[in-house]
Amino acid sequence: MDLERQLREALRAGDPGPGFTARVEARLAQRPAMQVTGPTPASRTGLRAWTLPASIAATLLFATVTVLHVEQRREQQRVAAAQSQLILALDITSRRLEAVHHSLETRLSEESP
Amino acid sequence: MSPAPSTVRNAQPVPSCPEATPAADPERWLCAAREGNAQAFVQLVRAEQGRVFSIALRMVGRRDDAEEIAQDVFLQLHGMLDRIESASHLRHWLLRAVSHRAIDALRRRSRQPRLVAEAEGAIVAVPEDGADHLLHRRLAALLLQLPETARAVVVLRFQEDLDPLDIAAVLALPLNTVKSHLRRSLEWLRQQALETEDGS
Repeated sequence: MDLERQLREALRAGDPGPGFTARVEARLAQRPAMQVTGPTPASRTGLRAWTLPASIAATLLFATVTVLHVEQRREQQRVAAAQSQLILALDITSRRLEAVHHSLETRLSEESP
Repeated sequence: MSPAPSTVRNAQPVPSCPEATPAADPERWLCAAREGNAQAFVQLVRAEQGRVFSIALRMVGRRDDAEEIAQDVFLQLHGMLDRIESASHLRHWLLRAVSHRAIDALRRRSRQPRLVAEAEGAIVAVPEDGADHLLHRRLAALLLQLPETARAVVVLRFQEDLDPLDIAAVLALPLNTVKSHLRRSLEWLRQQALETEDGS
């Protein structure tokens, strides 16, 4: 059997049947006008020309705002931590001073007749 | 043929395109279609629909799926006519588009193809007198059992008569891969066809 000849005969191109072209036309007609007619090459090129830089600029802007926001939050957290440490230190100092004051008063009262 | 829908770019004489020759002139149709002539695009579809539909049908095995793929290819073509440079470029683009769409469609299918039933639909050409119809049906059915890339290689080789170098360009495969697919597929098809003959 000449397989290659048989394959060529078996695989001869056929026709999709009547109405195929009309169905393609109908689907073209169903598409939105912009898709059917398509932008002119110049406008299409123009569209591509600003779409990419605009996307990059928007991404950079978003990234910058996000980084600034995160930095601001960290700074606020640092200030709050410093404030609480200061308050704690003042509290400790105040208690020590009070203790010293109390011991002085006690000693003075013992020494006085 | 009904006139083209009005939403398709209007059909106007295209002075920059060459005059039509009495015979079919894909170069002129392409030129006119690029410049907005809807009837020229219709002529292109008519000229190429058999090739595109047949490849899709032999790849996917079902007429409705094949028609959808073929229609999608022509819709895609309509949107990028300005990038098609010549009739030979058009043919190469169509073969590439339909092959890849068919392979993608096959890969999306999770189940096995219904081989025998689909092979009935895969016979698209009217057989010549004296042709072995049963053998042709059997070959079409066997073709549907090949892996999708090997199937595309065989279809492009024996329907479109492309040489392995062109098939490699169309399918974006290394030349040796194409040759390997072709050799193994032919061996397998021959073996299967002979087994069928012995069995009958």
